[in-house]
Amino acid sequence: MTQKTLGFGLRLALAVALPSIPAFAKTIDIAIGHQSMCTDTYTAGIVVKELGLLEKNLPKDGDYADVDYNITWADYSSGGPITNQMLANKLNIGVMGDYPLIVNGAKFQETDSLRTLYVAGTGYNLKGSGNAVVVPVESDIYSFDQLKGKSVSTPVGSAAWGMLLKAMQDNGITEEVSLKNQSPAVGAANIAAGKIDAHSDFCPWSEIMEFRGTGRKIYDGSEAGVPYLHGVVVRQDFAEEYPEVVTAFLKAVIEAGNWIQENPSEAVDLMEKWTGVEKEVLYIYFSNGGHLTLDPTIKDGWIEALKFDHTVLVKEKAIPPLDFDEWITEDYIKAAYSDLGMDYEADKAKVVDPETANLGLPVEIWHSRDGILKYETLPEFLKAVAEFQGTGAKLNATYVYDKSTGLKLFGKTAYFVQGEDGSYETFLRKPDAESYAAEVKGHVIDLPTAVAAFIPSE
Amino acid sequence: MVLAPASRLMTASRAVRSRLGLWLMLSVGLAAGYYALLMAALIVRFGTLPNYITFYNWPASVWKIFRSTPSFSDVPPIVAQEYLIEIGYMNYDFGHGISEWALNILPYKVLQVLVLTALLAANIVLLRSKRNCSTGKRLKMGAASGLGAGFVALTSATMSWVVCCATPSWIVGLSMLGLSVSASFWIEPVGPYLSAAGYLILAVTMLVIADPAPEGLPDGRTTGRDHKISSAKGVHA
Repeated sequence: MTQKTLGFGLRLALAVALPSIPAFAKTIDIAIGHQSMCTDTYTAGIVVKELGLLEKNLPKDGDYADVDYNITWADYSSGGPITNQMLANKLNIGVMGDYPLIVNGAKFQETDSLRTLYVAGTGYNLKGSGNAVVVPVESDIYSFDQLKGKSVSTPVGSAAWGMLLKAMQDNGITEEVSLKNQSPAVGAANIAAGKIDAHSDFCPWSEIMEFRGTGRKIYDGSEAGVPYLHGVVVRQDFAEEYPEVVTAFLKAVIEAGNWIQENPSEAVDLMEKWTGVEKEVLYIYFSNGGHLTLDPTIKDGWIEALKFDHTVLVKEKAIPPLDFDEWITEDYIKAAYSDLGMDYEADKAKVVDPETANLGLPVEIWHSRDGILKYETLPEFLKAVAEFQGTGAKLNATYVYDKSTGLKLFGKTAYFVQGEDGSYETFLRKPDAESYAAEVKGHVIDLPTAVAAFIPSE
Repeated sequence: MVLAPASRLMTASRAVRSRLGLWLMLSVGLAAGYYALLMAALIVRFGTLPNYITFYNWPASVWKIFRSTPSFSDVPPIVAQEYLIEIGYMNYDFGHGISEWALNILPYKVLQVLVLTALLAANIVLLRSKRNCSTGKRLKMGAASGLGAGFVALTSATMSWVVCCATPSWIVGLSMLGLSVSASFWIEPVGPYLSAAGYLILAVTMLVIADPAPEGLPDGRTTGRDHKISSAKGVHA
């Protein structure tokens, strides 16, 4: 009798007490690998991190009602280590450029039991701008074919390396160029010191060198004509266990892109603080008419570009095969679009070609006090620069567009052509400028010379 | 030459046991010296001293990999890439800093290097124990050991030179020495074979040196047959 009473008492006590004992909340670890020195990854990396966009979008009801999230971010200077950390399950999500993405997918598919999924893009340049070949500013090299017999360094395995290989093939100088393996920082330092004939690198290193006045672009990735894109990969086991978390991450990516597009000058100001990359350099990527089109959709053309990149990697680095159908999925990005009430197919169908999209865009002056000032014509722009220089105003940077490709350029690195009729055009490459000058019976000048004509006389 | 590996292994084992302190000191010392040499090579090559060091929780990482990798066959190659220590140079000229070069201490590789130095130390101990061994044979065995050790040492280097997408790899050492990019990549897949060849050379050399008879063991025992061969060659006094 006593035992029965005791048993009943215990059951009653448990029945009363259990609901009041707080359940042990489940913790979901979300570890993301990103690259703060690679502009094209920012919308899935530093911007999401600093604006807390992932936290904002993470599910908090249903199966996730009692969940705690433990979000960690790890910054890398390249995509390779991100893949290794994903293999070790220390990162669930990685953001990287096209060539490292392919290595990521192939390395995972090489294992028996692990896979990643390519779930979204971050941004692209249709023709490959972002990668470029730079020479020391005092070099007498002005076109890619002049690299015959010269030494060119590049971070091997990167998208810039892939572009360089294609450019060498296109120009028929594959055997005549001595290729060296160099990190972006070392390459940039060697360009500044004139220790290497040329350096090929990815975003935003070429523009950093141009902005700092140490390097000059002689070849833009757009000449290779292969899209340059970045994207997001997720461990498949993580994506299958927490699909809503992956969708939340992609919603954050979309919102990061929208935030930049709404106010690029404010965005680059903050991004400079977060990454240490000069805001004037970032502006050339993220502004209206900039190199980077922020677009997370997965277009058919991107898959073709990735397949092309894979053939290059197989040939040059003997990487394993990659089943693209198994690797690429639009499910998560479509779900993110749907949750945000956006039209995925409409965005997927849109392709921005700078050559046409940037036609007629105003040229710009970044005034250190007044911010971004826009001018409809080059004479107005040159007149304004002359006036600002006359008052000693500090100009952070000036931006014009390459007539041949539509690319946004620093005014100080552009070749200006003044036509017979007094009109002006700007070019990225000297041979293009010279050819146009011959066509319009004009002459090629630099920015200071062009501005000099607008300095008010006494 | 009759190899009789079992008896030679016994001989080698006896020689090592008789000079266990020396063998241990050599094994550990050579491994430490190897990593010191790699660090020195990085400092000399890049002209900068290391300015950062990071320690990793290697056991926790291995446990995590073990728990989250469904196929056990996938575990070893992933664990092999795990760091314990990273010592390198951070370049702050761009952004908030980029690790430009680093020496990475990977326990898996340390184990490989310890196997190498243990074999090398065994060969040294064996050669020392054979005081009557001819100079020519000593040189040959020494050269063979050096060759084997060189192969393994070369392919066990874990330096990273932060070229994009590069992770610690033995070909970084070759690239640092100036080998062209294409040649480095061409040679990279050969690494495991080169390493295996190195161990094989070291092991075979050890067995050859551990010939129980001709040059006399530490305890002075010889066999008649080997003695005859040695005498015929006029090696021994």
